[in-house]
Amino acid sequence: MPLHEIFVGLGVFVASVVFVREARRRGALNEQSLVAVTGALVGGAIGMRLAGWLETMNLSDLWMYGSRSILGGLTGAYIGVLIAKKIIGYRERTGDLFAPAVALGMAVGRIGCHLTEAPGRPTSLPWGVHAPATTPECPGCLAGQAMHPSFVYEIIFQLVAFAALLWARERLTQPGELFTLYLAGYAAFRFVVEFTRANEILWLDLTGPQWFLVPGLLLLGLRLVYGWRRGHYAPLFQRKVMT
Amino acid sequence: MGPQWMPPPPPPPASNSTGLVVGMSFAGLGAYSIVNLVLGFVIFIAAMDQSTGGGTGLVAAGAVILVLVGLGAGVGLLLVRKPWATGLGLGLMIGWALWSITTAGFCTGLNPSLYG
Repeated sequence: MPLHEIFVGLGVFVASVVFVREARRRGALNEQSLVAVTGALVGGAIGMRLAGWLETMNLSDLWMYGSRSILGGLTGAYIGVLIAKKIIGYRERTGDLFAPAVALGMAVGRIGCHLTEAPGRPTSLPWGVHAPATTPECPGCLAGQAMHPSFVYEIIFQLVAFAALLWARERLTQPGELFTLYLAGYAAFRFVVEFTRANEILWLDLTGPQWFLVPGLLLLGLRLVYGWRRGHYAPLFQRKVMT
Repeated sequence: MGPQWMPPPPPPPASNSTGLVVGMSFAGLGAYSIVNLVLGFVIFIAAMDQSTGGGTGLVAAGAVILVLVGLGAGVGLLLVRKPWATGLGLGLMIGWALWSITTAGFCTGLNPSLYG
C-alpha cells in the first residue's frame, strides 16, 4: 500500500480545508486566492521534482521519485505564487492564508514519511525507533539499530507551529508577517532536526538540505530583523490587561 | 487594553464571475482526472506488452501528454481571458499538480517503476 502517497494526499486535503477556512475568515475567498493556490500547487509540484532531480542529476528521477522533496516543494510553491500573482497583477500579500494550512498539512503528510522512510540516525535515546529491514536507503534498519524518530519530531513541531499561528494571527497586524515567522521557524527547525535525519552528509558534517537552508536562513534572519525594528512583532509580546 | 486585531486590507471586490470561475475550476479538475486515469490505464496495458525496458518510451510519452493537457492547455485557456476558460484552465493545472504531488507519479504515467 502506498502509505507515503496516501498521507501526502491527506495532507494536501487537510491543508486545502484549512486554507479555505482561513480565506473565508479573512474575506479573501475569491478568484485571486484561487490563482494563488494554483501557482502554489503547480510551483510546488515542479519544485519537488526539480529538487529530486538536482540531488542525483539523473533525468529519470525527475519523473520517478522527484515528488519527495519538501524543501523543493515549498520553494517552488513560493515562487509559483509570486509568478501567479504577477501574471494577474495582484499585489496583496497571500502568505498569511497559507501558513496555518501548510503547517497542519505537513504534520499529516509527515506521518507517511515516518511510516515508509528511514526514520533517522542511530541513537541510544530511550525513544529511538526501529524500522523494517526492507526500508530503502536505511543501513540502520538492516543493522536493527534504534534510530531517531526525526519525522515525529517534525510532526510535533508542525502541530505546535499550527497552534502558535492560530494564536498569533489574532495579534499580528502587518500582512505577511505570519508567513514570515512560520518560514523562519520551520527553516531553523529543519536545519537543527537534520542532525537527526538519515540524509547523506555532503560537506562539513552538513547534509544537502542544510546547505540549501544556509542562504535561506541568512535571508530570513535579515527579514526578521527588519520586521522587529519596525515593531511588526511587538503585539506578540504585549500582555492583555484586564480592565 | 490589549492590542486590537486589525483586519488585513480589504480584498478587491469579488466580481460576478467568481462563482463561474470556481465552478469551472472543479470541472477542469474533474476533466483532468479522467484524462489522467484513462491515459495511465492505457499506458499500463501498453507497457505490459513491451519487452523489458521497452515501456520507458511509452511512459515518457504519456508524461509529456499529461503535462501538455494539464499545464499546456491550462495556460492556453487562461489566455482566452473569459471567466469559464480561466476557471477551466486553473482546474486543469490544479489537477496536474495534485495528481503529481499526491501520487508521486502513481496512476499518472509519471512513475516508470510501476511498469517495470
